[in-house]
Amino acid sequence: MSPAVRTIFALSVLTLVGITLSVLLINEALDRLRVRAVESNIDFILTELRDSVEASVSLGLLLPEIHVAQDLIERARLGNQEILAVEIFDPSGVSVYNTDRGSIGERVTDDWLEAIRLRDDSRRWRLEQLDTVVVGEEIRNDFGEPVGHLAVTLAGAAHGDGLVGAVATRFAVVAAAGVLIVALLSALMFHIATRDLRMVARQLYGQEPLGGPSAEPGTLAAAAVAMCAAIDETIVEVDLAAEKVRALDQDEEIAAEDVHEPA
Amino acid sequence: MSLPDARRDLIIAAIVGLILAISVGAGGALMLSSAEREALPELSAKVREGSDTVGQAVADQIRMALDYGIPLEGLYGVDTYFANVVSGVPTIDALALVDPDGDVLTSTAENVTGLAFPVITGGKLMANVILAPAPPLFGHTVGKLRLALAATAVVLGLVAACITLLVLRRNVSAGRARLRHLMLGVSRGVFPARTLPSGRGATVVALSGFDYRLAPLEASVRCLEDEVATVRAIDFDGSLSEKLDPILEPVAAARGVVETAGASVDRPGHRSFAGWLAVAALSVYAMSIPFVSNFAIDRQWEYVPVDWWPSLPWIAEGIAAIMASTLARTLPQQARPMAAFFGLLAAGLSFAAAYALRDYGLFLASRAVAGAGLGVTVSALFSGRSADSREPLLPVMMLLSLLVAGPVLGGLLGEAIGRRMAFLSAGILLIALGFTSLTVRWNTIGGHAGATAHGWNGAMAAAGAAFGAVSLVLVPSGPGYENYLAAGLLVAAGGAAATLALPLHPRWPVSLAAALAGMALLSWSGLSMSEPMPGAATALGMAVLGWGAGGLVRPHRATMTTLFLSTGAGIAAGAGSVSIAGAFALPPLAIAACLVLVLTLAGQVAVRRTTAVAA
Repeated sequence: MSPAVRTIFALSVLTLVGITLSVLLINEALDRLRVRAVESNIDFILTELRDSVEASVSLGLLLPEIHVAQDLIERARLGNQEILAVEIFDPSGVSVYNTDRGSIGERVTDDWLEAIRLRDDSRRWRLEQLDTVVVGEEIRNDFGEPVGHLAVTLAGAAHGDGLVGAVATRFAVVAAAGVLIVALLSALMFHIATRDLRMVARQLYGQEPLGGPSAEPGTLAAAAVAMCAAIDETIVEVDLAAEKVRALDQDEEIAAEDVHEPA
Repeated sequence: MSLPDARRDLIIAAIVGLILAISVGAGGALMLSSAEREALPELSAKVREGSDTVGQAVADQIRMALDYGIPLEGLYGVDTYFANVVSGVPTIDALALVDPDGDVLTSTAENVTGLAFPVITGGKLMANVILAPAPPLFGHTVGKLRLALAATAVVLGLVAACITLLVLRRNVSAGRARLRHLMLGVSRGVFPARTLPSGRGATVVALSGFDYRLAPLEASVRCLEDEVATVRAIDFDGSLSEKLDPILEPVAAARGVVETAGASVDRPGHRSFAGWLAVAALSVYAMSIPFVSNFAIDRQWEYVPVDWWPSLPWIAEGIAAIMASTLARTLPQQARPMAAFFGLLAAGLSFAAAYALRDYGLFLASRAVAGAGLGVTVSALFSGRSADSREPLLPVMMLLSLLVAGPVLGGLLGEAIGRRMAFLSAGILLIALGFTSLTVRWNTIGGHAGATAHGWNGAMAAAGAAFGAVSLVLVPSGPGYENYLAAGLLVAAGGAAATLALPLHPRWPVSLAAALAGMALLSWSGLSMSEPMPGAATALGMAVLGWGAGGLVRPHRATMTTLFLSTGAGIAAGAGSVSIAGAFALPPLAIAACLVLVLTLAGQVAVRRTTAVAA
């Protein structure tokens, strides 16, 4: 494979990489936008739920005594298709109310507790997992002490319809067209860049007459003309020298015969 | 290579870069418009769904109050409630409560228009809640996306132009120059020993044509040589030689054509390949610039103060790179292949490991191993080599790849697939380059006896300190904390300016003044770890700083190893200076600016002393 072909291949791969990277960027940005839109919708629900639970806490009820909370989170879960689960857990991480009732009494994962620990100064925390996004908020009593956490699990980026899948055909067409255009045009540019080399090669092989209008001083063609003339001239000189040497040889043979004959 | 050749190469490389940039840009734009058509209706529906939920909930609250018998005009705290809702839900711009006649009772803004949610009690319309949706987020996101797609196109176009320029210069133009030289030589009576060109392509075909033209001459010369050999064979008394020499003298030069040059081991080619391999490795390594500091901040470490979180990985990396590089310089020649291979392998595995690391300590260790791997690789590939004596393009390409292409590509990858996947991808690329390093004929690459081997250069350390403090710590921790592309672009702004300054060789006081002015401008623009978005002043500051730092780097005065060691030490010091400034509540770049000043002046004193001793 010639360097030009290797380079054209590399440029084609680079084009494919560029278009793929563009699609990934678009997919990621729009997916993030979708998650943000869903999160914005959840903000209100989360605030309403937290206010309701905190109102009960203000009345002096402990978290396990607010039985209406189970009803509230189940209604919130049913009211929005993006919500996969809603959970209220105490500061130690034990689930007190959960839309998945079988999980009540179990501990939340360490990732959640880590996200709570690492949150900034706000009450809100957030955790992105493989295919879900968990948005949580701290529940506080009247003295500002945390008494638990409310967590809403949403469908994450991977839950989306997959933009890449939707635009796959177009991507294939665009990528193929891009690669083809770059390959053809870069091949043309390399063709232009090596035009003089190919022309002089044809001239040197005798496929084209030497010289011509392109043989301006300083060009390869002009150098080829000068070189070929010098070679022709040198061949004549070498052949002449060979003849002279041959003559020496013959003279020597004649001289040798002359020496032998009298004997 | 002649000037027209160089100009032609540059123009063709620029056109190829432009073609690729346009193709990638147009492809990206087409995909974006397609994606917009597919995704935006769904997004609009989701936003509308959220607005409906909120509007209905607010209308329900008002209805409940009216059901309790409270008159519409007597509702207490509605304005506060509305204000809380608007501030808490970003998709809502304003809320208003209007009576059936259209009179506004409560409103969070003037002239609220939008969706109407009726408040009905006892089958009678009592009021309407008017909800004005916020301007969609799409415009901002799509604008940012367009910038990212443009950056992708530009950077890949630049990479394509560099690749094309490299191939044209090293292959086509070098071959053309060699052919021209050979042909002109023959026309002047200088006949080279015949070489048999191998490979494919226009250059090889042209050189083969040259060889083909020499074939008749070779045949004649062989004929002559046969005759000469015959004469010499019968020349028992030496008398014929005396007659032979005058005959052969005029064709002495032509007789060289039958000699064949020895099997050519392309020594400069392999040395050069090793250099370009190092450039590629540095470029991939630089893809991590937009992530390392913010990745470290997110890992957190209870054993050190917060101010040190973003800088510690770079300090560890810099120190490990210097130590490993120093050790690797002592390796025997034969150990170099494996050293470069294992260096790249270690760096690649450390990069890839970041995908799974959640602990700060382990991340710190992985960065130290990556730095050590890079140090070993650079030492193995460059040891004893003068920075720009053989490949004038090399330092320029190195700066471009390290400070422009690498960071922007890293930023784009981070935005496209996330930081962890970007680390993994860069790791895989580094490992692949490690295997490529095994193809270099290492026994032909050696340190040159005459190579200057100063271990330290103050001005380069100063440039490293400025780069370490700003590009590696402050930018990724501040404006680039959640916007990796912004970090990559800011670093690239400085890198592009540094690349421009490099061949201009501005005087050191000018460079120093520019570096300090750039840092002052960055401080004035508010660049800090808490600055969320970069402004024009930040970009300008980066460019001025980059120009100054680029001017301080004088590759012709040092070996590549010196360059690497000095900038590595500067990077570690610069990164640490930001943390120290933070600990003492000083402006973030205060200590870094002092470092740049002191290191540059110390470097100048050392240069003068060396010059005086040499004199």
